[in-house]
Amino acid sequence: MTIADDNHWLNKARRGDVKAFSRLVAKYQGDVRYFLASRMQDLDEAEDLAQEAFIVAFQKLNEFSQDKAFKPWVMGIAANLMRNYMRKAKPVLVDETNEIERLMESAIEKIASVDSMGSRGAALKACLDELDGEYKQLLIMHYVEGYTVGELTKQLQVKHSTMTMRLYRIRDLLRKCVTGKTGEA
Amino acid sequence: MNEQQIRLIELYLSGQRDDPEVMAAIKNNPHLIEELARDKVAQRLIKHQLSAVSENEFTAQVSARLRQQSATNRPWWAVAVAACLVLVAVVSLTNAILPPQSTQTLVKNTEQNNHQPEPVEHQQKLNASTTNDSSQLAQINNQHTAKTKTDSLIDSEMSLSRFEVVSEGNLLPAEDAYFEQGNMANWQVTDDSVGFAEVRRNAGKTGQYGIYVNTLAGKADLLLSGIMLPESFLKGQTPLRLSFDIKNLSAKENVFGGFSRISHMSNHQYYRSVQGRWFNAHKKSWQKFERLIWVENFPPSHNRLEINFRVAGQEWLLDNIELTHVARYKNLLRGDNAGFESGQETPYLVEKLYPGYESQAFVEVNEAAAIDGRYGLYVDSYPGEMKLKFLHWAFDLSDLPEVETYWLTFDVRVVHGNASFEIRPRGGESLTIPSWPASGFAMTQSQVGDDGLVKVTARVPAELVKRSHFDISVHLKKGAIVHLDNFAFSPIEEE
Repeated sequence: MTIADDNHWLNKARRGDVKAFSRLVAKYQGDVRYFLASRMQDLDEAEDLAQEAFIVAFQKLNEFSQDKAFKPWVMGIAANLMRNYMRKAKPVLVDETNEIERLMESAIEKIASVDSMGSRGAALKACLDELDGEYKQLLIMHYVEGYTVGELTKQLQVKHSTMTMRLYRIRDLLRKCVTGKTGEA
Repeated sequence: MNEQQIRLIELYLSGQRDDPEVMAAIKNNPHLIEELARDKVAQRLIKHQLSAVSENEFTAQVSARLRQQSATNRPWWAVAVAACLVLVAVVSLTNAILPPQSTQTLVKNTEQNNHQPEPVEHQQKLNASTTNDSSQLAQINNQHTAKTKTDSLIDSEMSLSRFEVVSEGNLLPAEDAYFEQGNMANWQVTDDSVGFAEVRRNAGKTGQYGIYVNTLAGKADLLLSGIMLPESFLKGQTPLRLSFDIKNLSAKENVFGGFSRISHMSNHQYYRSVQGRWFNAHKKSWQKFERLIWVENFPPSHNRLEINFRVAGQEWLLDNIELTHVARYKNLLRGDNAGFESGQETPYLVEKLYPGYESQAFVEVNEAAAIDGRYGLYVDSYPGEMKLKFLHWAFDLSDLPEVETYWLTFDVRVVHGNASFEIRPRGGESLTIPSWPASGFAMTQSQVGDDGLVKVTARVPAELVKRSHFDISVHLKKGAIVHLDNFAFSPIEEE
């Protein structure tokens, strides 16, 4: 779908055609969702904000200039919603650990930019498909099924630090795979 | 990255963050911070990739919300035009189908439907001859009148929910439920009430009579003593359903009136069920109030039903009080996930939802937190929000019945602070505990009574339970100390 296609659907959406707007949601939801997921700790909140971004965009379509591209506009809405959310939910920083977390979040802000996340998300999907079955099973147990590192440690009879580093190395493997596919560091 | 840096990363990711030297070494190394940041992004994206809804599902969800919004945001003139067209169509159809006599009947019924109870002053005059002291229990000895359910006084009805009722039917005798004898039967207004209640003609939702409650001067507590509860209700966490029709005579918007409960008084023993959701009404219309009451370990006799009107300055009508048994299915939470009776945290109840989003509350299984049995879950959320998750394996989902709804229930004792819960089944919307008075889903000890006990219930649609990785998170917002016990997850058949 080109920008001209976008404008075709945008014109329909301006007249209240939800189905037409769904085409744009389908096209750009990956960019918006990966961006928010990479920046926010709470995945559920990130998903909620992603939906909210498209809903706000639909409501403000009359304010959107057709000379511009739709993607940066909706990404901007998502970024604003996220900033508002974070301002409200900002944690109190009291110790060394939180200081490191704060430094990490600043670094993430640079790493996970608005422009790059869509392609990285798509690459990650492909990399996960290529991942060794045992590794993938471990990721599913930890990230989907909610097994803590402690529980995995007991189940797989390894040390806590070994399990931590095993997960870290699998993530590192995936990061390298994504870099290879996108060319971005 | 050298070995030293790898070691620091290992220590940090393993959660060993007590050593100030290690923490300082990480903090002062921008390269390490960046590496940890990239790792965190990877964690978040992997989590998203593996567990978030599919692209199609996401698009469908957004479209559904937009359609819903479009429907509610239609301009008033469009709604008016649509309403007129429907009206014209209905009238034309009626004229075409019904003979003239039937049309007249329709008009008559419309008049009846618009009937409002007589003004309070008029009703007081009407009842003056039969009521000696309106501040006490009214004794209106009118001739017995059979209850006729004409539905002629229905303004509107909002049913909150319906539960499967077993065959025993209403536990209350007809005279205490429908008031068609024209008196309060066995109902009393408690001595410490300032307001009053009495049975009045045209005050019922159905039939001729209903109770008029007046709290203009202050609270009015209604008490029905001597309820016999069947033995079966008192075991196995079997709930009772209390329902009644209620109407506020002056409500312009949603107002809360008070609470209901079952209490027990004998041999200096006093038990009471939790207040639960307060009854409410809005726009001067009849509402069907319905709630479950859990009466665990109550003796079968000497029980009382209380309907307490605790908000001053209001006038209410009350009718059709029903107390019924609700079928209860087996608890699908496996073994120790329900009551913590091993004295240890169960393996399938985890505090951490996923890395980077951890429960910050202090959680411990101990004896002090027991609400039933020997152990309960002690939670202090002053350090931060509690995020517990019942993993998929905590549930026995092998042979699910054909129902549409499941309930997650648990007992809470609010020890200190303001307890605000949120239940999140995987793939579903957050379910806040609804309709607590005044402060939404937040509860303080003063709101739930001196004992601080309350039963929390959250509905979960069956479609979520049937998914391959169903689980439920229970959140408690920062700022409370609570005891949690008796978790149950059960299918419920609703009418």
